[in-house]
Amino acid sequence: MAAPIIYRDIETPNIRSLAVYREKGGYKALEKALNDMSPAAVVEEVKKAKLVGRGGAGFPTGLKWELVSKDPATPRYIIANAEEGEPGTFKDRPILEQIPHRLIEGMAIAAYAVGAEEGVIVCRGEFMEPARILREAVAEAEEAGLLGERIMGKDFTFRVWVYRTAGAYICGEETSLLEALEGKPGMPRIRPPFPVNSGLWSKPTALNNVETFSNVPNIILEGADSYSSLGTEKNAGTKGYCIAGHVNKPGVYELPFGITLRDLIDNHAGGILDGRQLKCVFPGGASSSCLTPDNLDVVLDFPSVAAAGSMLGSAALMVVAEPTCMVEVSLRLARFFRHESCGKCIPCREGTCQTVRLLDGIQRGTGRKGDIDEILDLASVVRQSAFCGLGQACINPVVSCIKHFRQEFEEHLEGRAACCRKEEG
Amino acid sequence: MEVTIDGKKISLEGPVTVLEAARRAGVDIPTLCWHPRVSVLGACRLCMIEVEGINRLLAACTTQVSDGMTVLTDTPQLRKVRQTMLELLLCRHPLDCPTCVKGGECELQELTYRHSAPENRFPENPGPYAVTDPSPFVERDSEKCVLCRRCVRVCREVRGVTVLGAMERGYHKRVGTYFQQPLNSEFQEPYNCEFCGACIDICPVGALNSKVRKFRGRTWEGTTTDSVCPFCSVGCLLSLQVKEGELVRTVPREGPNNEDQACFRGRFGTDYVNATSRIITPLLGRNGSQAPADADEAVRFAAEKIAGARRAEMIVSSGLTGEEIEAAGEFAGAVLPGGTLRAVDTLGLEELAGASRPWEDLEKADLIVVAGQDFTIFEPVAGVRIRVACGKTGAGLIVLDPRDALLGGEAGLWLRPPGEGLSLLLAGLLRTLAASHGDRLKAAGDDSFLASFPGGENGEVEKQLGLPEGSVEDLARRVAASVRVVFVGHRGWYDPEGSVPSLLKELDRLLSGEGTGMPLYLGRDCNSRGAAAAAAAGPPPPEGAPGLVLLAGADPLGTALPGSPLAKRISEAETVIVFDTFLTETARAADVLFPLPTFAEKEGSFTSSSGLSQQLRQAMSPPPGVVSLRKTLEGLASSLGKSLSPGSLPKGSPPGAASPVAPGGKLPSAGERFLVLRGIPIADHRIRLVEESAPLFPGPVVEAHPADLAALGLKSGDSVRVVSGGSELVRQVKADLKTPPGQVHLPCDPADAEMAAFVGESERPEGWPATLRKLAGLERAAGESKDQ
Repeated sequence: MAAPIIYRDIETPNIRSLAVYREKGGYKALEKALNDMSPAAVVEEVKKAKLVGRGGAGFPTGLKWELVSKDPATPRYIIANAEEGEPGTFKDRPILEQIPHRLIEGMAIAAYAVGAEEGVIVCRGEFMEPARILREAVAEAEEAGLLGERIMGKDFTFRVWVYRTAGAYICGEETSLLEALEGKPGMPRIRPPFPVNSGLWSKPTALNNVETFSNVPNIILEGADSYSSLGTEKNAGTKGYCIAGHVNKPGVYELPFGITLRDLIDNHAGGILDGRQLKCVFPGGASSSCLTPDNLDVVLDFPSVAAAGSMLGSAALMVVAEPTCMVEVSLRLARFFRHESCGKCIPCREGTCQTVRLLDGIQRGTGRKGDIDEILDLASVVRQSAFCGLGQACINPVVSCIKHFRQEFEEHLEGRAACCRKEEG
Repeated sequence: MEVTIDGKKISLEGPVTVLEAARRAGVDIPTLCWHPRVSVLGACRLCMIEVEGINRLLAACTTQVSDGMTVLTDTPQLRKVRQTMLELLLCRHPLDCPTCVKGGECELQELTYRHSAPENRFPENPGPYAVTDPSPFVERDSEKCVLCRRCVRVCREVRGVTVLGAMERGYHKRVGTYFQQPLNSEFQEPYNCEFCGACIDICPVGALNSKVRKFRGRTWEGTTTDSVCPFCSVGCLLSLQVKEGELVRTVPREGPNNEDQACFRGRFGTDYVNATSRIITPLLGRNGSQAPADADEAVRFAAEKIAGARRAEMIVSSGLTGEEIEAAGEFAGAVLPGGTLRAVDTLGLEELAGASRPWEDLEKADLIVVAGQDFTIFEPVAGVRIRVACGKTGAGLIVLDPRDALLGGEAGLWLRPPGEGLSLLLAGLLRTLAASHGDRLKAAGDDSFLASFPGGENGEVEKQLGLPEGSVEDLARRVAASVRVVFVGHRGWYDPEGSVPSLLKELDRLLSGEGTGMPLYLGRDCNSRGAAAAAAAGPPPPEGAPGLVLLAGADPLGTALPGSPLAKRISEAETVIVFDTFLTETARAADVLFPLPTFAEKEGSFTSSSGLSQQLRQAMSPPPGVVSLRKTLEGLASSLGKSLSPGSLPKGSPPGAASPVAPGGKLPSAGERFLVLRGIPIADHRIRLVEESAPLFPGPVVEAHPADLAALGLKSGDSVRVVSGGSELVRQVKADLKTPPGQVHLPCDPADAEMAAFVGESERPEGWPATLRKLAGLERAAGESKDQ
């Protein structure tokens, strides 16, 4: 099935260039918005399309833009979050590297809608190649009069900058990203105020994921009704599902919201690797709780995955097959979060540290009786008290592993597990 | 708004956080990272609360109160969170409380005592950090740090310095400096650590300590007395802790001038009172042959000289208390033949007699204009007040300061008139306001006042001062566009004639329309305002050499420049009688010297620059035999058969009679390579007694901007010859980012007599230009040997 919206035409040779992108109808949406629609009408259309943020929180994009456009403060800013830091997420990179103009067009339409004159694409530190491609695309668009002053002869000015942060997981969190963009250490801000009112340089800021912006040209060009004919009741359109781990065909698949987990694994990702048994799936990256084979029929949209006890997040599905050791999985995830905690608040900074210590003891069989419950107890406090989403979510995967595979943890603790002893020998 | 906190109903006006509301309601919510002086961080999570209708916990410090909110601050769930936070902190914190300097006032200790679980679930595993910072005064012990970042915030937000920052992330996170350098490393230039000690005060644990007071006494030992700082004229209130006759600790306390801040002099410099080099008996004999004498002998000698003198004058320091100056005045009037009373370092301040201007006025201003040189270097706490006021109210800031002393970079407009050009610029501002913004002025201009200042067209002034074209008009426009302007100036050596106060006063009068315009003007010493009100300003009129000069606390030979009228006066006097605590340059020239108590050993009052009189309290006893100035003077008087009596003093010249003095036409000209910028000595002989302060002094060097040095092929450490007019000086040159390009800064370290002579005696060409040349070959060898 050809990608209908965000990756549409991605296979077309040289779609990265402005010329080919325009041949395929690129910048027609911007033209339509500028010629035929008021900024308020653009916001209305996006609201009607039921577009929700693709970064992980699923916040309605139209509502976000409306809040920005109604804040009297100026200047306002458009920011594309191209951090893509969640392990297992690789849905934005194809856009950045292959269809950068779709992102730029989406940002320009957003700028028109909210009354912004400047935009920034904030890439993670490691995205050197995507940043280079983006800068080229921005220069091309400027040369063609699609960015800059009096775009398409209209009274509309919009410029785009490309910025790379120093590369930290936390910078994917929107307020940390803003801090980093302002040249400060990437650490989350107090919310409220939210970026819609007090974002970059304390000005109203529409900060959306790369994938979110890439949906916008389609909505404007084809109309909200056509767009929302795909997807589910709450989440319209398609999603770039990143599937990795023990499947035969890992990769990114653009599919409508509403597809089931089973369908994605079996019919798109080619089933479980080597015909092994599915053990669990982390549906939304490293910070999501795992789902077991019992959940295979869960519908992949934000509300349904939440109802199943996890979160869709950026739709980075990590598939784990038997006989993977879940203690090892937990420890790796815990180590990742210990490494990536920004260190601002006590529960996240110290809690991740203690979780690793406890898990390490469990894996080596040197832990104390009660360490498993200790982790659960600590997790309940950290989840309630951490400053930002990272801290609140970071112990979820470990807790879910313990919940579903407690026996494995106990075997390790008691020194009965064969899997993790081999290396020690 | 009405909120209910733990069942207590209170009504309040917003916006206010739950934490503040709870404190007003008398409900205690524990905090660690929160501090009233700095911005909210929300990192410690100890202040978590439950709010009815919200199914997650919120931090009280970051949650705004809304009407009808019902808050619970003490539930089993919250207790559990607090206990866990403390467990997590304590397992990374070395539990060496028995030897920790913070013991007794450690917030972590207190929180643990009140909120922690009986046992810690997590094994103790403190970080690997060592105590390494070799800088003076402040010890950093990262192992004990709880990462509340209060020090980071106070350093940046209150002191404006940003020496400390949060480094790394996650469990590697720590508070550190750039490149892990010492606090006062060159990487920090030009905004280096000032050793204000604000970080020590705000640190809740023992991660930041005073190296000076370490192990000299626990916080609860000895006696603690409230007093006033004896250094600059801001007038910070201090608490002095004395143990076994030694001043072991000085900390700032809440005061109307300083809020809760101080600077390195107030905090660490007060250690001078413990110096063993102080004078404890009278000394007789001059210049090197001074020998201890008993009190009767010294009094007899002095009385003889007084009785035999034709004319005598009393010169007091403006660092004495009002009461001491009063006693000196009574003595001069009743005992001295033809006696007069003069004070040093009060020039120009008589203009402000009787007026007061509280620092809170800064918070009512929409524009603050700061005029001076090295403003926040000499009076850091004044800088704090200005910075905090601007941060609080969003008021605009204009800085007129040639040197880069923090505030310039924070200002909306920063003009850098060279050294002595400030009065020319202010006169230009006055003229432009009268000429182009007359409708903004609330009082009529005084033509005769302005006529006494040289100057001309704005373009001419700008050219002379090396300022960009249109600067003066831009300055005037910004001033005129503001509703309430407050001027802040300070007394530096850039204003030798003392004309800046009158100019600022006139500006204030025109703009505010009030009869007595009053800028916030900082004198040079802690009681400059008090001294200016009680005594005439030096130097004395030149007619006739006095037979007898008496100096109380004043050290004109050590702090003024050789060749100055006052220094000349002392060298010409037949007899010099000095009252002082230490053997200053002036004290060495005394025929008889009487010891004085230090500020910590006396009662009295200092009048601060805001016009506020503040009370000193005796924190310790003076050494046996050292008595108050009044007692000494009374002894002298009675041996002459007289007694001190108030109201008998003829003043040198009545306050207010001095007419504004023109800056003497010293306009810089662009003809030569550099303009000389005369520095303000940051410390007097008292600070020099504090050994740890040595690295803070510039030493015998001249300073210039690195770009200028590069252009001349010079680098730091090279020997240069500074030639101005007929004088020259050979010194090592140091790259200095605070000095503007095109100027050469002579730090005027009082210990550097040769530089002082160059600065004081050279016949200055107009504008004080100088050339700077690298010494070569043999010449350099000669120059270097001269340096040593």
